[in-house]
Amino acid sequence: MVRGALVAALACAAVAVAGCGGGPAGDPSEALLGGDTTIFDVTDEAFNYPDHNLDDAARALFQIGDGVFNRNWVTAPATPQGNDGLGPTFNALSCSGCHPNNGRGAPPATGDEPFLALLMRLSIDGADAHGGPNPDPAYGDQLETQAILGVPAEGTPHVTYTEQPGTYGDGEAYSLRAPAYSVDGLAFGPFAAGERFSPRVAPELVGAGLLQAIPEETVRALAAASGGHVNEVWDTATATTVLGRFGWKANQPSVEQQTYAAFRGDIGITSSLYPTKNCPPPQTACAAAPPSMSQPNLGALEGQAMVVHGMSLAVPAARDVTAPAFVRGEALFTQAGCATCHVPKVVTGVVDGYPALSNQTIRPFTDLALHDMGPGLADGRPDYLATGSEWRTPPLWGLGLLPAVNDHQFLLHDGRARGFAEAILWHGGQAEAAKENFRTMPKADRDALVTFLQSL
Amino acid sequence: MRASLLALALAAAGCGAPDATSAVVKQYAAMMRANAVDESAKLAALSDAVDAFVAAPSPDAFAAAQSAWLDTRFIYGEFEVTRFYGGPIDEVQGRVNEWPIDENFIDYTTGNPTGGIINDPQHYPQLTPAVLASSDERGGIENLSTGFHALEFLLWGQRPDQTAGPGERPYTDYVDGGTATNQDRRRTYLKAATDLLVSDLAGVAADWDVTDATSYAAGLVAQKPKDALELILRGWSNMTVSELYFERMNDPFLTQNRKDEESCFSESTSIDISGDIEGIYNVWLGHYGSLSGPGLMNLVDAKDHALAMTMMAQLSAARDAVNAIPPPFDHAVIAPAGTDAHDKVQAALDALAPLAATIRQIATTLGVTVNI
Repeated sequence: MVRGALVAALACAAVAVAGCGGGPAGDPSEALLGGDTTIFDVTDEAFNYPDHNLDDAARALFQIGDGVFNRNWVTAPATPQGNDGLGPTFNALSCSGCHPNNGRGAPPATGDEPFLALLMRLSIDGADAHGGPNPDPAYGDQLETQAILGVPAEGTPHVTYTEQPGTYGDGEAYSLRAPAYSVDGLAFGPFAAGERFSPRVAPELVGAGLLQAIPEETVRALAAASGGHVNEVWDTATATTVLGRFGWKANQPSVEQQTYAAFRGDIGITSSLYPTKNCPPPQTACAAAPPSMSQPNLGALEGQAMVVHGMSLAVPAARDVTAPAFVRGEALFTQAGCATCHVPKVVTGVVDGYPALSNQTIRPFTDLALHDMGPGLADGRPDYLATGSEWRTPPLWGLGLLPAVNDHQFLLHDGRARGFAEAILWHGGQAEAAKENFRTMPKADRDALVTFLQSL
Repeated sequence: MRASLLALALAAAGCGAPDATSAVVKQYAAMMRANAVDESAKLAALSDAVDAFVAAPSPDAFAAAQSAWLDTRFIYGEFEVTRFYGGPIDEVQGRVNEWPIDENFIDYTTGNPTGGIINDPQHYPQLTPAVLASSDERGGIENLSTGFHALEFLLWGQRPDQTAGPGERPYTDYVDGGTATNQDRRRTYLKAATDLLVSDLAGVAADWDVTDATSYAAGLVAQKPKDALELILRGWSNMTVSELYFERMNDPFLTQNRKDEESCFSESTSIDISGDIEGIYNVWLGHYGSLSGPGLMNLVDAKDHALAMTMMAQLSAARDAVNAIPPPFDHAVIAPAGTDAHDKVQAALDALAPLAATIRQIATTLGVTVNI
């Protein structure tokens, strides 16, 4: 009732201020985080829309992709055909299982709760043939926590949190929760000595197409300017090493490859790009499981639709961008040094087949570059050119809507941060100075900075 | 009071034509209240039928519950035009009408005789509306345990073959010692899920009562008229283009997959889409049942007569074409090219297609932003 009315009022606040003139200083166009692709919604549907300027032919494909995204895959062989081929080992039954409402998954609330949206990447010493992580010989490059009947799941990960107290410059106390990960129930023997783990939470998906639309030379220039470096990763379709853009360590080159890799790795669904099941040699029951009549499991039209969907999920508009707190928070964000890596404004290039994404002035708050984030966040697992303490600067658009879309605001690569302030306080390494600037700000300034982020 | 009214009036004046817009917003709120109240009455009838069936399961009582379920759907379809702007239905939509559902999460399915919450007394010892509400959407939106389509699955059961008729769950699934297992828990589940739906929709109807100053409707009509109009258009446009045209009709036609078809257990999707287009038509005209007043058409007509006439013609044609599809819809969408049913689906899609561009023009003309 009251909540509904409030949400509705917020929905058009930005537009109302712009439409009816007056108001304090501030640039109303800053609401358009995705340029002409921006949509307007502050409800749990906020991440479900196609780009505002998408043509109707692409919208038809987008909606098919939306259906596949929400589809539960089932064990093969099954009738009706078309949604079977699950696993044999898997992490989730559907894309939306880990990315609810195209949003961000939450880490387990307790040590006993199963991992769903938090994926454990695995590797051993060395690199694969293309310079990427060297997969575990028995378990591959991620831990699949579930399996179809008659096939063993790989193992059960757990997380426990320890509170780490700290103090702001003005004496106010805070506490960060430091995670510790363990795995038991390993079905194919113990891990190798020196096994490397990297827990990674399923992020929100909006705006990925715009990030892919940033010209490569722009990404390289941004990385150079921010003191970071780009990742160079394997492109399966072209069998070449190319610029990495997606994933917590920028280890995927494109929305297309990220989509098909997640289908195979997380759900066990094969595609034209990855036509074989993920069954490392010791997993004989996995390899012997009955196949689907649909080979590959993901049909050509559905695959194409999934890529259009992933490329076209629109970024919602920022809220209250002309409010004094936003204007002040944004200035503090820049003064503290956050904007060095979380780059506020970028212009996209021309993308073949995606006119809606082309030549857009966007506000992603990322440089797509890798930066050393210090030992507190390090996972110790190299990923192509990313070291064990480097992470890609994540975009910040849409994060203020996570409470509406996903009923939580757990941030960073494994969801350890309970909101923006904790996420900032975890920053170290190249971000240490910016973090300290935030930590030592007066409370009113810290609050304004967080208000700004909540408005994105 | 006087000062705030004056301020409101001044603010509204800055946005132009407040009286006409305000009248449309008020008419819309009255229509949606009537629509929600009508739906609540249909749900009360469903609740009575479920009570009667659960008390004494019989073939006739089962058929009566199925019939009562079907009878709720057209009016609910009309009401869906209030989605997509954070209104009352969006607060509960996830547990009211979300789909597709995962049958295995609720009850047994082919090859999985012990599946689902019903057959899991260890983890779900109590089956109350509150327990079902908290299990809904756990681990993803397909893990639906509540709402219209959970009830539909409980009343009809699985449909392993798309070309056959509706699901054929035997009523003896609810008879102690009958078919399947945990019949008592299935009765409890059916009743609890019905009660939750009744209570969710009663809350929505209360929120559309403009005479209650704390209701959503009261807040909507007290807003700047243009802001309220923008919300109305966001719901109306999204329901027309993204939801009805693309998701509910074009998707299953292109993919030929029953998973993409809404009321697949009961084979009643024709009712859903007819209700949807009726609700879209209602908001355009400002009509619902015996209520008649200014609608979006009047606002557009005052600014651009030709555009209003274009929309009127296109929307009427689309409504006729959607209603001309021979039921059941899921048979029509997979009918071979050249058959009447296939051609009627194609004709309906062709009739709906131009609405997107026209609605974008309408939004521009009215000076509001929509998400299509």
